[in-house]
Amino acid sequence: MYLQASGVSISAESLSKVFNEGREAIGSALSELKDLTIISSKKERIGNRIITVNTLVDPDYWAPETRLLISLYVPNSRLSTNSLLAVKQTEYLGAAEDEYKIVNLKPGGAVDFPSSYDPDDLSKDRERSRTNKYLEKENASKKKYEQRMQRRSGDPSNWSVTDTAFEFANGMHELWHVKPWSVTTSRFRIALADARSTHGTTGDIEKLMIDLYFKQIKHDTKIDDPEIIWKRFIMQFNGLKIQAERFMVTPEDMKHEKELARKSQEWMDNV
Amino acid sequence: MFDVEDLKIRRKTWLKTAAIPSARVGWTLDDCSEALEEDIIQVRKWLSLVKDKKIIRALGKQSCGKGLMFYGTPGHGKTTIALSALQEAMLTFPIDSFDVKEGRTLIRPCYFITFNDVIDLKGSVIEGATEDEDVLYQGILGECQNDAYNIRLLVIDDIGREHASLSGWQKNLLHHVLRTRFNNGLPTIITTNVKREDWVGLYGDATESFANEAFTYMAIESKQGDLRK
Repeated sequence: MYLQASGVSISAESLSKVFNEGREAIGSALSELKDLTIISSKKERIGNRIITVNTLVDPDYWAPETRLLISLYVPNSRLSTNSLLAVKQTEYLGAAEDEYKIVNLKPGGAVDFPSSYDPDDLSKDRERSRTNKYLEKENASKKKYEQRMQRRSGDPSNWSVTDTAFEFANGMHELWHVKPWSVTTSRFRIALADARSTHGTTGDIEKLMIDLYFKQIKHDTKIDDPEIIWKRFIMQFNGLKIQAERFMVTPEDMKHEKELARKSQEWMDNV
Repeated sequence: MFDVEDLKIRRKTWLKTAAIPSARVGWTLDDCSEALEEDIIQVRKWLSLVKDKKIIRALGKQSCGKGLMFYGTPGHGKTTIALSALQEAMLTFPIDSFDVKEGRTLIRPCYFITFNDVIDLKGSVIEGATEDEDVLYQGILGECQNDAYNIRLLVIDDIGREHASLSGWQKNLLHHVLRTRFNNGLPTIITTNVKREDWVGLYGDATESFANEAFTYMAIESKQGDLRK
């Protein structure tokens, strides 16, 4: 309420200038308020920067359990005892699951919480639901990645930039357990497309370059940042291309090498 | 394929100390069904020369220490053939083919290592290696004081796949390892994706010329192209 009245923008940085608490403490408090639906946040682009804008949510739109808690712990809030009862009777009891229906209202306004409605449990519930959401998102991404890999052509020479990016991401996943789908959404794909047009490479040579690159750096335990891994690949693109081209063998090359080999083996017949 | 556990203790120990990648343990040349027959015949011919004591420490003979260089594109079975040849030697060679003095033992007659690992091993030796690492490195060169640890048949895999910014000492290391082994009459099988004519640019004239002298060149192709697909 103070925030709204003071007109201070709600960010950890600006609030830390007004209050005695530090930026981190305020940040974690804001995140708690976000969990309670008291504030909401969205990302906005300002020029080249993307910033998070926090706004206060009208109490009418707070989650029922938040309204209940605020009424209990902040007596002077807009949510009076009367409105607390209203919350319980109209929204809370109506919308909540069965387990919440056993909230007992006693004469005098005192409320007994069953063990399942302990504030600690509430935070556990919230944590559980957050974990579930995260897992769902992960599974959806994984499915999308698998479908993408299935769609990819078996012949690397027909690969698009995205196909190659997935191949690279797959290598990262095997060595450092960086998730393949998180790489393709990074700037890597753009950088790869740029390198491809500059050096005129195709999927088959890029596959070989990726293979070479990972073989070379897999022992380097100091690298653990995906950003560094792909940036190094782009930096070494030309060197790797030269190295990979050496390994690209045409049927004519092979014929020539076979002839050299035949001559080299002659001594074995004469020993 | 053979089961290592069925072997007698000596050969079992040899196989277990050879650092064979687990996916290829128990393979012989008979198991390389995707390889061209002509390639297998040539490898067998070379192995029979080794068995007949015409290569390992065959002092005074031109064939002394002469190894095999497998060239080919990735996935055509170079490493598999090299590993199979190595295991066939450990499985079938009489002990005197490895030039073991009477009454002596042989701990590690054959060994498999990638060139990147040789570089790492050398790095450890420079920085203060453990006794085991030191013995392994000396054994790779064939210069270990205890002859039981000198590796008679060595496979160095993936030459040409080392770090793109290969510095001078690493290039010299390849020359040093190959030449020292050759000079000690110990054959090496190397696998590479680098064409012989490209060795000059990558490793220098001296190494390329030495490779011609010390290795029998084989261009390996599989019957069905890239086997990893």
